[in-house]
Amino acid sequence: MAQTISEPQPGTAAVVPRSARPRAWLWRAFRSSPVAIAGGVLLVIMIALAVLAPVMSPWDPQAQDLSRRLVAPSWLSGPHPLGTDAVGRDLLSNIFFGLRVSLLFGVLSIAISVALGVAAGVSAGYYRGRLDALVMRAADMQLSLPFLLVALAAAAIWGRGLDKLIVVIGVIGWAEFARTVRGSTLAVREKEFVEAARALGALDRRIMARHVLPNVLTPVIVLISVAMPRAIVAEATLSFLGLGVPLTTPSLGLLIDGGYKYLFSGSWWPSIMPGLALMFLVVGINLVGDWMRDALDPRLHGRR
Amino acid sequence: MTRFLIGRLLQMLGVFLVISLVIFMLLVFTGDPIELLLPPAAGIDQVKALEVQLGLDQPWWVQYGRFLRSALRGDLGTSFYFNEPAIRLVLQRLPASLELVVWTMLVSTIIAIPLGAMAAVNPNSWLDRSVLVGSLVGISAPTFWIGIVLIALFVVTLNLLPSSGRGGWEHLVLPVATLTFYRVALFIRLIRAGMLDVLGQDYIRTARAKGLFERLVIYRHALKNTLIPFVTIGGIQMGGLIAFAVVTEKIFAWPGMGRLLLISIERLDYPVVVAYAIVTAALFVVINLTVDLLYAFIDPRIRYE
Repeated sequence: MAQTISEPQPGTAAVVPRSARPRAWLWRAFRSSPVAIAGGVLLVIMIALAVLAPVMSPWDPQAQDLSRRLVAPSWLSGPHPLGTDAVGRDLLSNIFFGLRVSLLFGVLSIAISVALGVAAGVSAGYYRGRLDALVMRAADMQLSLPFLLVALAAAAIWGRGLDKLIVVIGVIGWAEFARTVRGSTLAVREKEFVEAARALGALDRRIMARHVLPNVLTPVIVLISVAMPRAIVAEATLSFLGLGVPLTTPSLGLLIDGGYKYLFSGSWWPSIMPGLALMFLVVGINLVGDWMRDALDPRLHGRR
Repeated sequence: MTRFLIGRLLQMLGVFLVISLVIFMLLVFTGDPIELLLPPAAGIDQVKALEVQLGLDQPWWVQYGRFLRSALRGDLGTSFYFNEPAIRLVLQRLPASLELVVWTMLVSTIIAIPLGAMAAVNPNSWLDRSVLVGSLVGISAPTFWIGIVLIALFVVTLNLLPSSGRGGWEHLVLPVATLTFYRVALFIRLIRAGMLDVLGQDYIRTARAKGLFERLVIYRHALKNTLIPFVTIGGIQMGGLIAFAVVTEKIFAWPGMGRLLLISIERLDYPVVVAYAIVTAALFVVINLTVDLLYAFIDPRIRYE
């Protein structure tokens, strides 16, 4: 994610005619927005916690100790800053590792969505005709079904597993990317430079990869900022429902599911704390996404 | 118009068939309900007899063909567990789920439209700022976690409301509030963005130049045009709510079809799962058609030929 934020894609310059050096311009827009900075800082912290989980965790996340079950948070002092869960596992360590799983899940599943969606969108928009009709009909069908419901059905049938869930959520996400990319491709394929490339005898494959693709990536970045939080929350939700990752995976959704039964006996931390961490992560992505949407959408320039 | 409706219905029938086939096949290839239904000590004869009784000894295409034929008669098979028609089990629980969906849509729209419009009319005011911050939290917090926070606050700490079951309005408050949270946030953002867009258009300047009251300009001219894209999103959200209702029904032990789905998945009771999918798909057809018709009603430029 951090990579995507500071490094605008090659296509930015073509779609945003604002500046010859989009990188410098994006960075200026970032610095001048306190909201974007707050989001960026939050996101960097969450990513750091996730990446450094093995180093930062005070305990082994899976280590159970039934004599220390449901220990209340001790905050800054004591061995368990955020308390322990129902089987005596340290909550802070589990949240660190849970963030790791959430982030990994978001990145990998979105990578699948982008790969499938961009490939389908570029070829549909470039070749048009039958292929286009077929791809768009399939995308319409996919989009007419609510995201979580399809994920729920697929996960219910296919069974638990982090890898399966990544594939399921990744594949379901293809349609939005395909539709957006196809729209941009239709516009780009009529441009003179595409015609020039064709006149020079470039193969379709080369034209699509070298000339069309870089010019349709800006909306893809914006879509990623919307799709990634949704994918991350979907994993947590399915895991909470018992249809997501296996019980041995340190997922925030599983932590919350394991903790919420103890709400009525007064132990609020095993369910509230992991949810808070999940929310911080999603807020961070959303804030950075909002800023990118404003910065990359040429229609919004000059306003606000 | 009629042709449009027929085309739309045919398309949806196609969606139906694909959904049912995919779900049916995947279910046939995974899991064995016999193992769950019979005691572990059951003999091979008992297993064979039950297989024949449930039709599981036939190849999958025979099973699917039989399933389709009976589906056309409104019969989606018998639940392995309850030994009752699966469709009846799902339909019995449909009103409870719809109750959640409809109330959530009503409450979120009623809260979101005025707030979003007012925020757009006064950009950068304290209202606009708090609406933006609030809606950011709203779209970021996972629905199921909101439910848990609400239980911690209103049931465990304040002891104000019941945490489970269906009954009077007091049972409805927390599940609906849980589902409303995200949707209010999303709708506010959409209405605000849409209004900002519309308020910059030329016809709004014309309306103002004519000397119309500001309130008339905002609510008659601007808001009405903002609502057009909102109808689509509202329709999609309503479909999504059926899925999110599964989450809420689990947390609040709400006796809807979502809870039935979770239980049936656990028991590998696949006629019920398929019946759930078919009923849900039917709901989408209704919702999508309603959205299309509403579109034509709100925007007279759209005529379906």
